[in-house]
Amino acid sequence: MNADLRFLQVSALVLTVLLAVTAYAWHRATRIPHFAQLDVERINFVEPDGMPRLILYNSSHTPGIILRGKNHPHPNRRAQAGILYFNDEGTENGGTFTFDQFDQDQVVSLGGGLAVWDQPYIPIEQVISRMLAATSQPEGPGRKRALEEVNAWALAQKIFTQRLSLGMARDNAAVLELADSERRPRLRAVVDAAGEARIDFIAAHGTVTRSITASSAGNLP
Amino acid sequence: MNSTSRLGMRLLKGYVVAAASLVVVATFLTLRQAPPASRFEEINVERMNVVEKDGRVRLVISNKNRFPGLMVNGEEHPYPRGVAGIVFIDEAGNEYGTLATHTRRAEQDFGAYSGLQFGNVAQGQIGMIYDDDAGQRQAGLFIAGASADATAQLLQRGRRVQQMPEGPDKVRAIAELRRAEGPPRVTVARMRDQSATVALADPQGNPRLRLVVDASGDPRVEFLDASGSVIRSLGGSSEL
Repeated sequence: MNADLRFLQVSALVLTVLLAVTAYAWHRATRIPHFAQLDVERINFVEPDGMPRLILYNSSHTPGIILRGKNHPHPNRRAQAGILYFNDEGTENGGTFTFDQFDQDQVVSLGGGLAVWDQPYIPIEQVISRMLAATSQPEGPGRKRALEEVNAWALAQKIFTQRLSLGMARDNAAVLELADSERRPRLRAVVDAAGEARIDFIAAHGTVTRSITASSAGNLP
Repeated sequence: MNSTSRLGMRLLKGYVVAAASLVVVATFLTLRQAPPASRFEEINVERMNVVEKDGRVRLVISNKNRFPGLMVNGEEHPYPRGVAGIVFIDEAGNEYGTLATHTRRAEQDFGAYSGLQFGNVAQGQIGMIYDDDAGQRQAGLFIAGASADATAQLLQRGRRVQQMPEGPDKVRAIAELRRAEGPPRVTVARMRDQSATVALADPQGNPRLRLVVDASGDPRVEFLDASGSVIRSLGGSSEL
């Protein structure tokens, strides 16, 4: 009888201790993991349903083009490290300092200056499949013709119509350029490499019709 | 001891043995969960917090579902955004930048927003932004001045908007809240009226100097008064 009681007492004690240990271990195992440092080649930030929202990747894990959560071969993205963002539908809508128009290609970019484009509202799947149809052809005159055709089509659809650029030009001038909806530059503010400032008004056919400088209001003859 | 209590004792003993074994097994299983590895080839995450040693959050990358509110003095406040992306937080626990994106699509309607912004919601921000409301879009670089409202007022307003039921009214309220964050001072963008524009504005947000190539392609440099009227306009063929 005494032995039974002692057994129960000891068991209860041991059980209590073990229970505490288990509870603590369980708490540790289920809390948000904490790392001092993480080495990862690619991280996918996803919504609860698995749709991608943001991907950080190294060059050996460069994504293709992801449309509505599905990966497709990219017509021209090289293996490179970077960051990509995705819209609420799991379609790519920008990467490393560029943003895409809804369901389209980029409309604003901060790489090497500021640039803004107009894009038509043509679903990006259509554009990509046309480009892939051309780029996937074997080398030769057929491929060259297909590429020219797809480029002409893109131009006619006004894909990548640059409207604005702000930055440094090749000749080391600081330039702000505003273009019309036919991608023709029409207004340009420049400080050239020699330090001379001017504002140029440009006609649709490309000639400067007026140039305002420090010494001239650019009045027409 | 009668036979009933003997039976009770035996049951109790059995219970203790069974429970002890269960605890041992559970402990073993829990402990066997290896400590989280720190090198991965690829992982899926819904939210990642980059923290200081003491736990202060400095950077959050998140999906829309777990996107944080607005951090002010180390405290998180509910603030309606409906976006996924990155939040940058300074040493004092104040948000100083976001990279955010959201889209909506309904029948005959869509909208999209992407922005990389730095600054303080109430004290001025600079951002590269694309904002589209069913094809009425603007994209470019925007610098906003300080808000007429104090941070506390914006937070209060944010909380009210956050509680609104989802729908077009809420979308509009969020857009209004974004405008209340500060008047536009510098705009370098493709605007809703289809123009390419550089506009410099006074502290109230009224554009006073504008370089424009409008929808029809005409280039102009305009000086404006506070009411928005053009008081001087230079064009490609004007003799002014």
